[in-house]
Amino acid sequence: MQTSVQSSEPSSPSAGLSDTALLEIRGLRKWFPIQKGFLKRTVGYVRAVDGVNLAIQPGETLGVVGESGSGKTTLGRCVLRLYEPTAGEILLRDGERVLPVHELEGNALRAFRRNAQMIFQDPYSSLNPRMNVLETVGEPLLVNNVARGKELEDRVTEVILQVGLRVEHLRRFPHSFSGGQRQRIGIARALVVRPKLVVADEPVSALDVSIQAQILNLLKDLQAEYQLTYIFITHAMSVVRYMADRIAVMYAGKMVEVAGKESLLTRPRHPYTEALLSAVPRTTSGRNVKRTVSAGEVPDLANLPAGCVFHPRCKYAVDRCRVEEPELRPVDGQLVKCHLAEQLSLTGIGPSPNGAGRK
Amino acid sequence: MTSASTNDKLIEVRDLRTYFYLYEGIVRAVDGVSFEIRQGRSLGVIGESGCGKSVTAQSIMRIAPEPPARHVGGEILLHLGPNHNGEVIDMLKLDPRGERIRSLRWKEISMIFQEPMTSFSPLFTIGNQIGEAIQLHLPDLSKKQVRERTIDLLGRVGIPQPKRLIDSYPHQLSGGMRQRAMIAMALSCNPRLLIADEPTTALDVTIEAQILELIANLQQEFNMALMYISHDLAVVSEMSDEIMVMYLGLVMEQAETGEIFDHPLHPYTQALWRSIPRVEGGQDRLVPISGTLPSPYNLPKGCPFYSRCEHRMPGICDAVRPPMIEVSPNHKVSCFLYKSEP
Ligand SMILES: Nc1ncnc2c1ncn2[C@@H]1O[C@H](COP(=O)(O)OP(=O)(O)OP(=O)(O)O)[C@@H](O)[C@H]1O
Ligand SMILES: Nc1ncnc2c1ncn2[C@@H]1O[C@H](COP(=O)(O)OP(=O)(O)OP(=O)(O)O)[C@@H](O)[C@H]1O
Ligand code: SF4
Ligand code: SF4
Ligand SMILES: [Mg+2]
Ligand SMILES: [Mg+2]
Repeated sequence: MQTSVQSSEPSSPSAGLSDTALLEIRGLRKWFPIQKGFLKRTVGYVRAVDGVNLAIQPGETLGVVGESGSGKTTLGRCVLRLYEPTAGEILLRDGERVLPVHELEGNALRAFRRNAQMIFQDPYSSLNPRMNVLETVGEPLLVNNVARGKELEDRVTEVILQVGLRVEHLRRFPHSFSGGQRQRIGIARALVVRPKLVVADEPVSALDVSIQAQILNLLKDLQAEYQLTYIFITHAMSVVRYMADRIAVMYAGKMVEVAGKESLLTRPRHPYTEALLSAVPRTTSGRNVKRTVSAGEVPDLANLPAGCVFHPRCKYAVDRCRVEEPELRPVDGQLVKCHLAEQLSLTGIGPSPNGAGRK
Repeated sequence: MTSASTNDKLIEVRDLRTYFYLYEGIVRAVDGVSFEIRQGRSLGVIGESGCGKSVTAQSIMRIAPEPPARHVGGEILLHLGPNHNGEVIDMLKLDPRGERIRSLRWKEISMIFQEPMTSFSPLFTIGNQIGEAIQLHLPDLSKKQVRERTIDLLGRVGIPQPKRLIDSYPHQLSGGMRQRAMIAMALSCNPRLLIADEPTTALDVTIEAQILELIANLQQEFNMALMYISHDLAVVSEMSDEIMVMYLGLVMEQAETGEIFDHPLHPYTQALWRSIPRVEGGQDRLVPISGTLPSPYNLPKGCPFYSRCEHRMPGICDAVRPPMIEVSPNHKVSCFLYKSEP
């Protein structure tokens, strides 16, 4: 695998893009101000994304997993400039050029957005209630001058059939669909312009296993055909195992482990990854398997602990962990942000013949 | 999950039919669904996206938008507790905007919605909104007590720093935090029946496990009944005593959890089991169920699964709807491949 994440500090300003990467994120931060009182005085910051470095290869699927509230959605939104990053660089290869996404404005930003789409986690609030399916899915084609009229309707029809909706649905409004149908409207809208980069935020969470399989296969087929690149955010480990090439694990706004999916899942190197995997339900036999719930408080992003952010909950923590923050560094071909990565022997998900579960 | 400590019925749904009358045609979202849940017990509901799970739940709460929705048939009997002399109410007979139903919602029957944003207003903080639900049923509490109770609830559903986040607006929370705030609101009045519609889809596995444990504990403590709708078969199996499989507004199969996982009978249930992605990996390609769904405006008169069923028998299955039969004790299926127990 490629060692495509750089060490903790952001490197020199946007010189070039390393080797073959399609997208490179350097020192990315998004801090939300916490405001108090009538004057909206800023009393602190929620460090939703705090110094993330990542490189993604063209045609790759990077799975992003991690605790709820760890900054996955915020990261995805920053990459697409739906949020303004507080600091950091986002570089995208565009043919021979390298686009500084974090600085784009006007037409250049619009052109970038056409090629980079998001599938939103919350389909309900991301769809305009006053636009029917044809208008919703057709809008990106229209605003980007890709198609109009009959051609637009044909392209919309093609993609909504691909996601398992029907022609009869074209003139219906978002509120008259089920949760899973709405999610598929959002997927169709993101895919209709044939983007190069898609940030898919929990794209199949509301779908039954059969339609989920259909959508996941569709995403894979489009990737094979058009060299699509995915940042695939999910809580479902079985889905990430099926989709991803590499997996990045986020905790409290930071990447704590990045590795090829098989090694990460079977042989995690970071104690948080181990805790996360131990909680995956692994039965459909109806007999209850007790899951480990990791002890301790979820971190306060406005008030992070000193040293390793995971230390208050880490069962392996030593004195050093309380004072010194570990770097994200290569260990046996994986990238791990833990002082003890070499010593620890952690448990992942072993193959078990009768186990199955979505998460 | 809980032991069957009682046989007391809590809710009985009989032949429920909820249709949507749209300009393009009639959507038969729920077309003859029957089940019951006893106190302290849990029913898992699974089935294809769009098969009518949420509409069934909305019908019980009487929050399906009328119009375009109409409850064209059936009854939903809610058995009130001893405090009400065992009164039985047909929810479908109540005025959906009336006083009576409002006294039952949240307190007797409460619901965690599939999309948390549908239940929160963007204009008020989550603390205000949960507090309001609490105040509604405990009007004697002071403002301070309501706030304390809200903070306590938010903490119990795993919201970090509840003292700070109680004053957040919904958009300031992550997807999973919003979902947990929704769960806190649903649990705020200790309901006797909790309908959980995909309650943990936005949660990581650790928090999910914590929430499931909380719900299971409430079941034990207050003998709360649970209707648990989810696509996540592993979680459904963890939470439910019994499982009901729906397809196109109809019930295809119903049995105890262990039984239905070990011996799925309906061809749709069997196909569903085959398309589960495995966390242990090793799948080059997932296999969705093949074939096309019939038009929702024009359902076949025979078996609804006919167009996709690998065992279909022309002339039999497409002629009339297969009746629901009991193949073995408590294992019911609607398919012509099976005969009732002699
Ligand atoms: N607009 C905002 N204003 C203030 N805080 C925000 C905003 N958006 C997100 N946050 C905070 O940033 C943190 C990270 O949120 P984010 O939505 O990125 O999490 P996530 O990893 O996607 O979680 P989930 O798995 O629950 O969706 C959370 O603490 C959240 O409360
Ligand atoms: N307000 C509405 N107006 C018109 N049709 C509706 C409305 N709500 C739901 N429907 C239709 O009713 C059918 C059942 O929807 P329901 O929401 O119950 O599905 P579901 O089983 O919950 O699916 P999912 O798993 O995707 O959430 C769908 O075909 C849907 O399009
Ligand atoms: S650095 Fe220390 S506290 Fe942090 S994960 Fe490693 S062992 Fe645990
Ligand atoms: S009734 Fe016939 S078509 Fe329907 S599921 Fe059974 S075998 Fe298949
Ligand atoms: Mg999110
Ligand atoms: Mg639903």
